[in-house]
Amino acid sequence: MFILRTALKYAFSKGKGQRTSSVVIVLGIALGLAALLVISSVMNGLQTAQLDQLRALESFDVSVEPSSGNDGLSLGLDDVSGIPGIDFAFEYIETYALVVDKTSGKSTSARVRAYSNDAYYSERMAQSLHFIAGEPVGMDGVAVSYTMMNTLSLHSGDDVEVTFLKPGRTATVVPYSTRMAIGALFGSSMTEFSSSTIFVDYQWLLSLMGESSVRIGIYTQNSESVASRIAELSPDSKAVTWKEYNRALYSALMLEKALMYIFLAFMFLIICVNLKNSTRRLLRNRQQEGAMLRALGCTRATVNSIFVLQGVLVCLIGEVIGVLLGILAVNNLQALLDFADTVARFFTGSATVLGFLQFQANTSPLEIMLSCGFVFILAVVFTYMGCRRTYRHEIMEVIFNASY
Amino acid sequence: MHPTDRQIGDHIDRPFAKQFDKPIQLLDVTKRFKAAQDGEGEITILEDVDLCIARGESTAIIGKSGSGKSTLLHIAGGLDSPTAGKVLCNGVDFATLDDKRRSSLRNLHIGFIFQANLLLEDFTALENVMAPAMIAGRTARDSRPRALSLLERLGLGDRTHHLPSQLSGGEKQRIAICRALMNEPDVIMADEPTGALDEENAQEVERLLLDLVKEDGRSLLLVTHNNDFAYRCDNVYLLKNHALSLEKGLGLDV
Repeated sequence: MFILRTALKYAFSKGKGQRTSSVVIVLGIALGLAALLVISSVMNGLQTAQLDQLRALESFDVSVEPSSGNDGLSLGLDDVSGIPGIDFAFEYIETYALVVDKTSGKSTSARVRAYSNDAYYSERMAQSLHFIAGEPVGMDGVAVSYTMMNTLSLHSGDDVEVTFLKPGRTATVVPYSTRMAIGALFGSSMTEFSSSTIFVDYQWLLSLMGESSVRIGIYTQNSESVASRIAELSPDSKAVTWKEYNRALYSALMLEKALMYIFLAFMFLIICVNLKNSTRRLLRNRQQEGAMLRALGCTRATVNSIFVLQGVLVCLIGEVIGVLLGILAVNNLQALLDFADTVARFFTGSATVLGFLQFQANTSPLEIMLSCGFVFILAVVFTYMGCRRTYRHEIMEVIFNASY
Repeated sequence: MHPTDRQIGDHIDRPFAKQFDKPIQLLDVTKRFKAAQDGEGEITILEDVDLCIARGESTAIIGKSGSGKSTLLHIAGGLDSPTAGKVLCNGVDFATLDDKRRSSLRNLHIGFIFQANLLLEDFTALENVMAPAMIAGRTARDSRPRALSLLERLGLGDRTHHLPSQLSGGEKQRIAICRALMNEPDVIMADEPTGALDEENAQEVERLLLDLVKEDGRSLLLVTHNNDFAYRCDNVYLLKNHALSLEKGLGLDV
């Protein structure tokens, strides 16, 4: 109790700028930790939202395709659906085509997709893919997005010429062109997906591309285990998880997060160097008191622990304030953005992007604990370093110098 | 053989300690310092010094500046170690103790008063006085009554919540005396306790120290330049040429 009381008094002592120094360090740690918490929560939120959309539309959780050299899937939809942990599985075909509007002469390449009938209405798909006009099932024509309509200057009811590469009898692939009417209009939560994809009827595309082009899309919460189960069931099939499919993006997001942590770690490093210097200064100023404490009956270890503890207390107070501030900021992110927008508008006179941003913050308790633990360990190490080198003098020497 | 915690006295009554008539004994104590940083040559401060502090008696050490008076006091109090010889506190040799036991012995049996009235700057007068008891492991609640009574006794009842920076030199030194008495030590060791005070305050502190020692039956080891103060003690030793010579009193055979 005496150690704690003394450490607390030393940490926030009024004398020789110690209190100011400690308050600055507390603020530094608090603001740094709050910033870390907000940034990581927002990044987690963005990452989750983006990956959720990718998993729903682009890659699915797992997609099963024939291994190279194999002519079609050796695994049927029923085989896959029976695997435990699968929420929904469906057949689909994916190929590429050139879309040309003969009227305007404009063209674009597009990914052509066709899902087996019930896939469009599955919960995950329906959340991200909306058909605004027309129905995808039994469609006589092609479904395009608004974005592609704008790109090709199309209007509803126009015809487009679509050129596929279909399997040939003698050559591997042969071009096949056909005129198709715009039979449906869709929108999705991913602009890039919408602008690069068209949908056609599954049965029609199946007849064109053949059975060998069929793949299976899977929605599941256990993509890794499902993929390994499929690999066990059918070595001829290749199960690609969403992580593998989006490897580049996933790695980029992870790298971005790691870089952010490294950047903030440097900031904490600088704060902890200040903590070390503050402890060293405190120790120099309190050398006589340290000696006096020893004369009163404190052991050398006790006196050292008082000086280490004061640094630890400064760090802990900073961490508590930082976590509270961070949680407060994360829970009121929209209000903070609105406030920032108001301030920006006051100075610039026009609306800013801040007013339109919608962030979905996702706080991870594990990340908070790890961040706090890292800062705590850093603070203990640096405070100890601050104590270690300075407190070398014998008590008699210090008291003797104080007396004369 | 290492002394037990009971011998060191982890409880305030310390019945074992009270059996000793000689709370502090210095036996053939020699102290040498290295003359320079490079370690070549030595300066002798004390040479085969014997000293015995009897229970209830006051002993003063006088001598010129630099004669080694403070070094002798620090060695006697376990703040410094002799180059040769033994220092016994209630029969326990400081040299046989680890830092924890030595600190505990100092905490419970010896009260220090220094010239520079080294008080803890961020602690109030009351907290300063309570410090030795809290270091001994007692709670603030348990320590408070005795600390308050000591402050009252020394006329500082209205200064309990003042910080050292708000007190005069004389008041600070009286707080240092209260602090030295807090754990009811066997010996008070005072290093020039009146050195930094004006004459009026110095006389007040002298009177208090000598009266408190007599009233409570404690021993006093005093180091001072002030011969008047020294000669009011029971025994007076002169430290000259690294050795002690008895100037007043009977002394005590070690």
